Amino acid sequence: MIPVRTALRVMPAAWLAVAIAAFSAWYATLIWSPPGYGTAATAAASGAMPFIASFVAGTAAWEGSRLRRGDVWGGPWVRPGWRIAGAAALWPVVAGLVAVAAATVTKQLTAAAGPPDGLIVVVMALDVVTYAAVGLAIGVLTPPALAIPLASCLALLWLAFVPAMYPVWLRHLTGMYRDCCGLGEAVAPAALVSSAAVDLALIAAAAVCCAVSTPRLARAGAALGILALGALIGTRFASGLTFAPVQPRDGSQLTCATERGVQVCLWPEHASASAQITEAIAGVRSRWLAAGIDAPTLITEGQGVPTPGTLRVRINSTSQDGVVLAMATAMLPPFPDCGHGTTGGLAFPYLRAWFAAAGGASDAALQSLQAPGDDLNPDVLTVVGQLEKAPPAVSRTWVEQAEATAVRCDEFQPDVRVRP
Amino acid sequence: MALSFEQVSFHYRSVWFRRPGDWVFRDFSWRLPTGKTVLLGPNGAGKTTLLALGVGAMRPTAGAIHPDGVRQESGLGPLRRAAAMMPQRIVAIPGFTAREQVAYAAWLRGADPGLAALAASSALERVGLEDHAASLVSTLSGGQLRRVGLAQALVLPSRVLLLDEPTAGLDPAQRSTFRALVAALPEEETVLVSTHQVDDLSEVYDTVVVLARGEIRFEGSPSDFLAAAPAGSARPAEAAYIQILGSEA
Repeated sequence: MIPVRTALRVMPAAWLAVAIAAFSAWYATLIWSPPGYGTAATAAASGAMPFIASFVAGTAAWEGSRLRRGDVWGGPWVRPGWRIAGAAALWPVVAGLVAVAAATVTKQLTAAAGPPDGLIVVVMALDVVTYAAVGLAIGVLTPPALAIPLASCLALLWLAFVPAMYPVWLRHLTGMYRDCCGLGEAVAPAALVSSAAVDLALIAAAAVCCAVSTPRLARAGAALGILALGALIGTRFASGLTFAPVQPRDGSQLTCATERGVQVCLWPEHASASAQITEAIAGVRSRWLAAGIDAPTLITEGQGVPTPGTLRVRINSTSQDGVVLAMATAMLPPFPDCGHGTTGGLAFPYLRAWFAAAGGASDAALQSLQAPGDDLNPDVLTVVGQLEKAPPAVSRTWVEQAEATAVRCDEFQPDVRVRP
Repeated sequence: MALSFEQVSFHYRSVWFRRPGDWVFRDFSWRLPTGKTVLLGPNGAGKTTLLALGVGAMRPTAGAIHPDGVRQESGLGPLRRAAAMMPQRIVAIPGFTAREQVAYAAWLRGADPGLAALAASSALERVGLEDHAASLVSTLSGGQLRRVGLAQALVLPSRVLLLDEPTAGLDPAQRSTFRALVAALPEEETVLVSTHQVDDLSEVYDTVVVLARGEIRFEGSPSDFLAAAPAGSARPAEAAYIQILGSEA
């Protein structure tokens, strides 16, 4: 065990713990998450992990180098190797955990969210231990001048670049959850298991690499085998996910209320604004009916398979315009999956703008939906203006035609003109 | 407390493969007696390997090594708890003071952190380095560094103390100081010192052992050792050494 006084004097992890914690806390606040949702805030805080992991790996490599340069590693000690490694990596791990805590707490506070998601925090802590183990092993096995930059860069590359690679589920092997979650989503356990499996494999491989009494070739072979097994298990869980490590949130958390014949179901994060949101939703639906737009009677924040008679909304802002735009977006048909890239989806902005305008969106909100027009496609707001002047029957027909056009894959020039 | 080697065989292995190297010891049996023993032998005789095996730094390929009363059944733990070694090369742990390095060695050898700090101060005082306890080890002279190494070996009580070339690279005054430190160790301790220095054997050691090619070629008192020198030798210790080893010297 290295005394605290010694650690404070000689260990970069101790010197820089406050700096990395402050940086992580600041960085976590830059990542948006739905206000009030604890899981999403914790997931957003994991966006600081590339920096935390790089710091932990680099400082652990420094300590590994100390063991190497001091002829400590592999000596005839009574203490087992894992205790010696644990003591050396203690300060990098502590500094990493403090940074994780700082990022998480700051994000939870700035997002006005409830308690953090325990499972995400546990996996972030496991990440910290993993990069400490990997850094320490690199420090023990390679010359100091190489070890520290190598460990830092590997951790940064793994966490910052792999999430940008295809296939998109590769990111879930790394332990980055910043794309989780909308209010209607929870973190997918498969993503947590996937990165935990890779973490455990990395720790085991690092331990095997440091077993100096075993021939190098045997160590390298065993480490590669362990990493392959970890990657295989991780892939098994991650490959079923899209780019976001999410699954639908438990619908039993929804609270429902009825207003003017419309049933509105909201997540607990919107409980304080439920009356305002419910009123806004009921108003939008009334205006839609008056404009000839058929609207469901059940409007819910719960996500899942589209169901007839149910409108699934994602409300990110509880303002009047926020609710109107959320409902307008929810009214759009599912985006067509067109392999060759040509789609009638070009009609989506028109549909969305009309739903928003008919629902009572302000001029400012409508302006934000304006898409640049060209010879073939008229300005969105021009179309909206024509629809506003047309009778409800014309609007209904236009919506039906535009929706049919929007989901076609062979539509090069969607016809969104308003025909009286 | 003696240290017994029973039918010990050992060869090094390639660091990349399991391919064995040449045998260093084959069916080597020997009992290191209580008291101070000096181990002499030419380069490549197996002196450092013998000490490394004795402290549990390496596992014998076959056979057993155990202090009296401690049967080595499995693992190197019992041997490591019983023996302490000062290696030939003492390395400064970057950033550590002498007290911190010795205390860390005590912790590595199983002491609690609190006890390790106290034991380090005591060990540094024992080797006369208390004035440099707060100095960075990397700034110490060669002789002081050797004393840090000895303090690391002495920091906890051990049944067997193994010192590998403790005076290598030291000037005559430093060698004299170091011999005095070894001489001051209690007589009931079991101490094995590997060295190329054959001077003043009778002043410090109870037993002289000569090792060559993994075999004991001589074991006896310093006077018996010196008796092997041809009559009229100007430097009897060197002459005895050469006489015992013949062409292997």
